[in-house]
Amino acid sequence: MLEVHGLKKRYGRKKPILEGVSFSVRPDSITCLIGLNGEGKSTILKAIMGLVPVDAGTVLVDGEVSRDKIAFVPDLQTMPGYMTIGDALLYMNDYYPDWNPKVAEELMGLFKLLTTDKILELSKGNQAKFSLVLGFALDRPYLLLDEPFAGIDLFTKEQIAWIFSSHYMEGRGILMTTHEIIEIEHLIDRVVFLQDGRIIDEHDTEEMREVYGKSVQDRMREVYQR
Amino acid sequence: MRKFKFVVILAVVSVLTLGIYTVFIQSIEESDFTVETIKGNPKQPEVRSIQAELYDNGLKDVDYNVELDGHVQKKTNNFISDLFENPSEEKRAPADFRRFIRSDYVTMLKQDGISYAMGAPDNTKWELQYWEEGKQRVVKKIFPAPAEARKLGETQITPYKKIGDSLYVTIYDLQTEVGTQLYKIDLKGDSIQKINLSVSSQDEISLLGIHNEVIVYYVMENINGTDVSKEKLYMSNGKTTKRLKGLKSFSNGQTELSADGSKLIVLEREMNDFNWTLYDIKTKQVEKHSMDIPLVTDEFGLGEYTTLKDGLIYTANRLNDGIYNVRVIDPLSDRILYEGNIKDKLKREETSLNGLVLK
Amino acid sequence: MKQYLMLTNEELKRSWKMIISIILAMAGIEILTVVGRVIYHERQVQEYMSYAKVSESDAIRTIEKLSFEQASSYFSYIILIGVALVLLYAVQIWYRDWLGESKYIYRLLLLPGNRAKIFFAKFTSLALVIISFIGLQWVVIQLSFVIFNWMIKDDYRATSTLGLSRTLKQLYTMNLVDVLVIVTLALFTVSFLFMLILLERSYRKTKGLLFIVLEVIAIVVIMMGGMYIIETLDIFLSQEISAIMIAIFVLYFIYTIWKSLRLLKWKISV
Repeated sequence: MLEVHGLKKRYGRKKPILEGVSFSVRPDSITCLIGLNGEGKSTILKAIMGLVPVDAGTVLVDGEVSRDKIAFVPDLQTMPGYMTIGDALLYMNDYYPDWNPKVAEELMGLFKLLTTDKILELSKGNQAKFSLVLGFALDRPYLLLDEPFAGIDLFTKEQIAWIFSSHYMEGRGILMTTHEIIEIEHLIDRVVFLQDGRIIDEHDTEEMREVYGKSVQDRMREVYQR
Repeated sequence: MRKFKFVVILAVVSVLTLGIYTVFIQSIEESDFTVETIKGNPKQPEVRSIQAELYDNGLKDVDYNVELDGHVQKKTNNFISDLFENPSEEKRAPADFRRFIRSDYVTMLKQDGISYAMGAPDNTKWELQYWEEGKQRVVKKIFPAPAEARKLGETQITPYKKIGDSLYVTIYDLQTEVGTQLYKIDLKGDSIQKINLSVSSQDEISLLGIHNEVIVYYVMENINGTDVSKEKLYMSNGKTTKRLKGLKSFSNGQTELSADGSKLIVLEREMNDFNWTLYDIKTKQVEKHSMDIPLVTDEFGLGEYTTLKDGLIYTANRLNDGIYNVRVIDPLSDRILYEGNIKDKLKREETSLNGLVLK
Repeated sequence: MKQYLMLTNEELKRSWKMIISIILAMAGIEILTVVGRVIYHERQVQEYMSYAKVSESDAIRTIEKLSFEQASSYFSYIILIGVALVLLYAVQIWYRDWLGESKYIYRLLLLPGNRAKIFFAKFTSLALVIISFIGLQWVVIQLSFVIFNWMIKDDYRATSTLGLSRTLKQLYTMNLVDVLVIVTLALFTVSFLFMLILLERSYRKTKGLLFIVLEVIAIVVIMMGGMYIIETLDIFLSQEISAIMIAIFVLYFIYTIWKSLRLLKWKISV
């Protein structure tokens, strides 16, 4: 289990971004962090990965304070501008002992990406797919994704959505932030609603549907249009 | 190799290029000095304390200290050694003596291997410390300032000479810069005696020598109403003072009383003119002497060093072809007591004479 | 260790074109200035000969012969430009990870293991560049000297031995200890700059600027205050003062590295 306890963050004297956020991500499940723009969803993912400092809070992965079991796919490119896809794959292989080149190769084939392509010259959709390759090819039990569907066309979205129901998901706990609920609602196991830096609601999606007869979208409207 | 290619390239470039630099450094020639004695013996007491200081003006910063028995000390400097260089000559003195002599108010006299340092931290007491080369012990004495000395403002004490058990010191007022007084300190009895010289409190005195309690000195007296000052020569035994006339000019050169106290030696050195004048204190007779010294200055206009010490003239002069001629001359008899040539086998033009050090 | 070397290699790889360009440009300009001076000197002599209607030897006597020291007089300005470019590189080596289309800083901070290797990789890159520059500049001096001797007429040349201008002599003292001291001082400057950059990247905007100002004030206070205390106490010998100054320098150098590592570990923000 990936456990987040009491994350607090404030920028100067402004209103705090996060005010004691606590939740957990189960293995073999997809958890979605939902909130309006600027609610701190990205900040939570970055805080978990140590990319932004926090004022308080802890992150435990299977009971340990360790980020080596979490892979992160941010919403931007992170490889040096001159690199081709091939360079990037070599880079990951050099630095990560848990890099799985076989999975990388398979996904590259599935997504029809070429090692000779320069990363920054790829289309937005291909960049997004490539970022997923970098995340999924790491043999880590937890994967964080920040807006994996942002700004890409429908067909690419479907390709990406497919991966979340594939065998590549086996044994993984996913935490993602997204606005594109409609496309992946059927895949999400749990939703966490964020507002004003706090978690105001969280549900198992199956329970929400069967017991309350609501979709995630319905619940979103209820929460944010109050 | 792919993973470290650029690190390796830059590392190799660094090592290779610095290697080229190192090889170049090793290839730079350094002067190779030998000493040829022409007259006298380098082991003579007047000669064995002489060290010729030469330095390299070329690419490498090297200092050479050449003793006249042929022993050469080479010293290369770097930023770190410069930071730790001892500014004073008392490198081997105990730390507390070195601390004392760096004070602003302390001046030093070195004589016969003993360093005498004296100063007045305020005008009520005088501090004296002295140390013998090679020993660890420092003798420290504090004297209450004599009554007349207390009248002065900030006092500068200068040890002048040690004769027997007495140390002669001059003091003057640092603020007004006039009013020199002469005192004799008995180092055994720890007493201070003022030596009365017949001068006004406004005069600036320069001592030229002391022999058998007779002090020879001159005073720069201002001619009233003008900017001109005149040198007046005197001798005094502390009770009576006599004006010594007949010697025209002596304050421009180096002037000293001879060891036997009979003559005043005035040394004048202007490049190729090597002259000295002897003034007989008793007869007031003036004798002019000169010597031919073939000096060839280097490209910086240097190559000569002459000094008068303890009644002897020490002179070093650059001749051609990397040769420095060193002479010790007795000015009273015109005799050359020692003459030697310091030769640089490589005849390097970049090496220059700094001077002679008489230890 | 391996990852640290790979990261260093990556930093150098990203800057390779810039480094080579600077080296070639500086070397080219320096050699050209020497060539230009020789040609200009020769022209001066020829012009004087026709203007004053004198022989070549008389003209040379008036104009004076040219030494390599004079011909290479522009080198110190070019070296200054090189120093400025290295300092710029020390700043760019960090900021490029945040600015631009891709944000490499994410990748660096997400790497497994200790974040100290990020700092030391960039630090080592600067160290290698600085040492190479020093070594290559010497090679260019030697090369320029060869070109100078080959180009200039014998009668026009002041001396055939290598002479350096006063500024170059400060850098090339013919003592390897001094090279070590210069490199150490340069790396100290780099480390101090790195610390200021990491402060800015950790706190940003006003707070970042405030911390930078505080650190600059701190180093000034330490230096001035230290000197003031030493002068006032007036009990130290000059070697003792030198030892104290070196100790303060070393301690502060260590502080800048420690502070940078701490910022990278706890405070840095993408």
